Amino acid sequence: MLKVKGLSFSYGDFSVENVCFEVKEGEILTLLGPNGSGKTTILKNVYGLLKPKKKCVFIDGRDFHSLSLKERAKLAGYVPQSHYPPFPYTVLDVVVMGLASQLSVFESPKDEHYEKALEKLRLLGMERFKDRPYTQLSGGQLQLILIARALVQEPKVLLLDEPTAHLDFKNQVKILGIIKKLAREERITAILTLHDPNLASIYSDKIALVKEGRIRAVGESSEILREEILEEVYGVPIHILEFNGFRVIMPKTEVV
Amino acid sequence: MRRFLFLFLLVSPIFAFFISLFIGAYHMPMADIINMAFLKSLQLISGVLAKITLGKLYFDVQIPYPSVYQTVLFKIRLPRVLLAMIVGSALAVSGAVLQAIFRNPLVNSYILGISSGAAFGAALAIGLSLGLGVTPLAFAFALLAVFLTTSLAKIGGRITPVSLILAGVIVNAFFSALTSLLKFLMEHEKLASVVYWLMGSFANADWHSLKVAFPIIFAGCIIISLMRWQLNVLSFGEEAKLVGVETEKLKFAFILIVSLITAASVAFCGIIGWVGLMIPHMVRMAFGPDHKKLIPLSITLGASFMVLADTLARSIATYEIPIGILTTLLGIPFFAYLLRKTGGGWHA
Ligand SMILES: Nc1ncnc2c1ncn2[C@@H]1O[C@H](COP(=O)(O)OP(=O)(O)O)[C@@H](O)[C@H]1O
Ligand SMILES: [Mg+2]
Repeated sequence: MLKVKGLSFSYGDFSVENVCFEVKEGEILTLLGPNGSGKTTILKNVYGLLKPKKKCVFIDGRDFHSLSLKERAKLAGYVPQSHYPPFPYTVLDVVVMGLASQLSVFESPKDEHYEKALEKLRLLGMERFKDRPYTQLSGGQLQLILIARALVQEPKVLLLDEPTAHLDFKNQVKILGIIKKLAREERITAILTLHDPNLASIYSDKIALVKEGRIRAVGESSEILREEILEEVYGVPIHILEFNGFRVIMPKTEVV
Repeated sequence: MRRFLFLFLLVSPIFAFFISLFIGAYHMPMADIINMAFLKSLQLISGVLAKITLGKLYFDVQIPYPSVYQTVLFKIRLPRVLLAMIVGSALAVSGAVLQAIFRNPLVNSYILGISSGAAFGAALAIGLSLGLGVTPLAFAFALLAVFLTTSLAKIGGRITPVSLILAGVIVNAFFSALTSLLKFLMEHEKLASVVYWLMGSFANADWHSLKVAFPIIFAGCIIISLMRWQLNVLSFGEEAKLVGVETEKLKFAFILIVSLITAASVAFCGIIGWVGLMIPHMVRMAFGPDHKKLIPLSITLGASFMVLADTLARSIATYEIPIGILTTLLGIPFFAYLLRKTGGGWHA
């Protein structure tokens, strides 16, 4: 479905080199790696917010970056990580912005568009917040609103940059559960970045381990999450335990 | 209540228009003004009908009032009222647009260098007695200044809020210095007229200025109104690209329109401060940041505010008070009150 073939990009002193991976329809791929390893950079390159050196992203065989921003937005939604709210728009006003790609520049959204936005808020259990200024939401609520905004685009692909950042345990599980459900039921293909190898192992179909701008390993969770690979990527001693068929990744502590 | 206020502000220019038409240094009874306005409309209609049917006059309307009355009302007061209204709209809507696309509460269209460019053009026209008139030069230099500011601010094909403000400061400083130099070299009477021009005034309004300014500003306001929802999206900066908006092209279009309508305003009436900053803020504090409401209300409230301020300027004293001083003095207390009460309505 989505194929990345030899993605390279350079910021000058940091570069991403020869990134390759493939995600099938309805699958979740997680980019896992330490801070500053290049996960966000890769995700931005996949969407085309940063320009990779050559064409390298294909959705259903089509060169994704040859599409206009408008066509791209109809095909793929991007949930950004850092977010500085400029004005206190209401939650509904923010979510309806996801429809920009379906309106001409001379059009404003009408009742039917607000209805679509409401539908997505309902799906995420956020309908009662619709009139709240979105600057007055918690981190987790804000994250859900941005996911709702991406979902009104009716995308086939969803790119999410650290959707669990700043969230408590419950909300991490909730958001990842929602993404999993979207993948299973709506056949949405998702690429996300995460920090927690355990959550990655539970929720993703595939994992790509990122280190210093390169993909160190990519594949099914069970092949990738091995002690020696993780130790190399994160640079800390690691234990992997088996529990009810799940792998639990733990740091080897030196506490006495 | 809010709904009522919304509708009231939307139609407020109609009330402001009549109030301003009734009041002036030359006193005329209200009934006479209404009568004359009615008869004049009939006269115009009959004129249009006659044109359509090739000269056949259906009814002949006479206006039985002294010609002073007619001159004051139709040649002086009416164009002045109309010019004040469209200029108020232009300045207010320009402020709203730029605040959104540069995500900055302190921006108005003067940040683009328009005011200092126009001031230099005016000083040049007055100082060198070019005979061209002040307006064309002020207009040309206003646009030149915008061009310089935006070219300077464009870094790697993008204009960021910070680069724009810095470029604006540079261009403003450049033209201000040149204007000061001209003022320094000028004779006293000329200096006085430059200073007076800089304070802004509608005293020179006539049908000629309206004929030029009206089409530009009217078309600009219509286009901005049609595109207004894009401003919601654009105010998210780079993120707007994620929902499929061509941010750079759209910003360029908005800056172009705003420059044209502000330059057209400034060229005819000098530099009138605060309106572009104040009106959008007031609307935002009362109705929230959604541009679907903000833009139409900025247009109508800008018109009402400016025409009423100008009415005060020309009627509270025996001499005219410069409108720029008045807009500032009128705006500040209200603005201060709203700021204290709502905390700015900018962030949470
Ligand atoms: N705009 C930028 N300009 C230059 N270097 C950048 C920029 N953004 C990120 N980097 C660098 O790229 C590297 C990878 O960053 P990033 O992709 O954000 O990592 P991650 O998301 O994995 O934490 C970091 O070393 C960072 O300093
Ligand atoms: Mg990151």
